Amino acid sequence: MPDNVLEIKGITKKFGGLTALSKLDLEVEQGSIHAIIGPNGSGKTTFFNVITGLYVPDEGSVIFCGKDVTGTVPYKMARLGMGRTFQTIFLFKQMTVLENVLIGLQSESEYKLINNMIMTPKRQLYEKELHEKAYELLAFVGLYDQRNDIACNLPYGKQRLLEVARAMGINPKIILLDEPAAGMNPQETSELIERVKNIRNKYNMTVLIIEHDMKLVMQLADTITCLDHGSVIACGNPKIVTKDSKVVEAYLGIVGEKDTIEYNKVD
Amino acid sequence: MKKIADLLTLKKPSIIWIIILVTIPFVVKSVYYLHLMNYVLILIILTLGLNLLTGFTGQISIGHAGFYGIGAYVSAYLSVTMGLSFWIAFPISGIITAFIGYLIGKPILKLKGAYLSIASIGIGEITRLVLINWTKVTHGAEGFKGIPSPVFFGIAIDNDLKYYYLLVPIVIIIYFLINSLIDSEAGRAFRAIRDEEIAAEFMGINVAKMKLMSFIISSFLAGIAGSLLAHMDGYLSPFSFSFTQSVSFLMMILAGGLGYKWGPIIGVFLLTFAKEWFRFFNEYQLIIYGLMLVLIIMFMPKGIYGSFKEIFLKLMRRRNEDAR
Ligand SMILES: Nc1ncnc2c1ncn2[C@@H]1O[C@H](COP(=O)(O)OP(=O)(O)OP(=O)(O)O)[C@@H](O)[C@H]1O
Ligand SMILES: [Mg+2]
Repeated sequence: MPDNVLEIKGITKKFGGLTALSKLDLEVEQGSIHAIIGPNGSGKTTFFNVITGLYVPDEGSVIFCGKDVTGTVPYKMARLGMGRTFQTIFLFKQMTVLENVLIGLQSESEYKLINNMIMTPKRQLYEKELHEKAYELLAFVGLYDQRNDIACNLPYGKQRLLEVARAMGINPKIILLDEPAAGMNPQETSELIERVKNIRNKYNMTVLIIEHDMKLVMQLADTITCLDHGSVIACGNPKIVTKDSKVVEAYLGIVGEKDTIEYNKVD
Repeated sequence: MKKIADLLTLKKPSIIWIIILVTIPFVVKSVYYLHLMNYVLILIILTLGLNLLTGFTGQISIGHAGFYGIGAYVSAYLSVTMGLSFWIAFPISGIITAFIGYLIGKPILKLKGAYLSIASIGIGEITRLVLINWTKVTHGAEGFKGIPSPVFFGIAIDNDLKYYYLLVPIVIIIYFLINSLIDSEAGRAFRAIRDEEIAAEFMGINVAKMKLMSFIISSFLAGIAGSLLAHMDGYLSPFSFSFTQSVSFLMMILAGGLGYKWGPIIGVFLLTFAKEWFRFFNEYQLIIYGLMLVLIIMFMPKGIYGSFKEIFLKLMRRRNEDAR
């Protein structure tokens, strides 16, 4: 196993005249919790979209587990072991909470027609196993009791947790969380912190997390990368990165102290 | 109460419905109504497929009369011009229609939402024009005559009663196959695509392949429905496979309940029979029929089955809460 589960080399992504990512380099260490911070519009979500294959970069390459996967389409990236959640929630709204997680769990399926039209005992067993795994993941995010609710009826914070459970279902090597705490109350946020730690500790997934809430980032991250205008302006140990004058400037538009960043966590 | 719930949601394959279907001809003595029933059964086959595509996979097709026509004409051509038996023409018409569905679906399913619907209208119209103008094969505007009745172990299935008993087992088999498909993991993937296509892709679902699969299945079912129509009526007119008919298939599913297993069945029944009953209003027939559709869509956006199911589930929930 290489030390870096993910290596990004010189990625550039342009939208017409706008350069959303410019010659971006980044390494994500196996087994780490790696946070990406940066002001609005700095290219964080675009970065996720490039590594998960939604956008093909104009330049550069994405190396995942030692393999060049640049330009691989999203469903294949998912099957290779890259799970993600979305900044704007993208749940299967009319399906139940349980079914949402089952979709993640069946990510490897080839959907042979014959297998799916006739319910053999073998299929029943497979479905049962799938359900048991789903129950476990739902218990992990605290949604077991709501398993039969329709996904869009969940409160906002729980919808985010459901997205996390669904992404964990594909059993990814790395899980990408795009602002998972957005819209959560302080109680939910502190529970989220524990859960993200366990995603790494219990489920052995590497975590790449975009987050504006600096308190959360400081409690979780082993490494922080700060983006601004599509480039990395600082990367490394959280304590050092948050004191970096370029980071402080990018975040607040003024030169301030680390304390100020924490205070101004709402963007 | 639990029993009624099982019947309505059809959680367990319900033998009662099969018994009802088999005994209908003993109750309904009118040949005319039996003939309508046969149409209903054929349309159920077609709309079960269209509901899979539109209701469960979220891809709206307004061109399925085209596939219905292709199936009907392929079957007519194979049995009349090539002299093949119904039992060969019937499956082949489905397979050929499915193959044409594959050729058409591959490019047009890349389109999204309204663009796909408009393209499907085009496909339906092109099919109709081919049926009218490819005179050598289809006999053009004068229609295809003399399509033989199926022969089952020496018995010609040549009246409505016999045809009814040919259709019933076919409908039952297709109903159960389609429903177990919907309940399977493939069915879950279809619904995931309907609800949030992008997220489905990120969950490892090959969205393009699954959409195509749904499209091919619905084409196949439209094809065999067309074949059954051809051998029942013995005559085909290219004008009957029109845009209006494509729309009416969708209306049936919408009125019954789009994306509900029972939706197409209820919808086909209701719309087919309502149209006949409204004959009583003479020249107001179509106005009242239209009014009924508008009222259903306005007050029951989930269709008749969908709305009643919702009310029923709410009542059950309240009962359970009271019991606690
Ligand atoms: N599909 C797109 N087409 C055109 N421009 C885009 C597209 N996606 C993103 N952009 C632009 O790229 C830039 C980076 O956007 P991105 O969403 O990656 O920022 P972000 O760091 O995630 O911001 P936020 O913190 O608000 O989520 C923005 O200027 C945005 O307008
Ligand atoms: Mg973003």
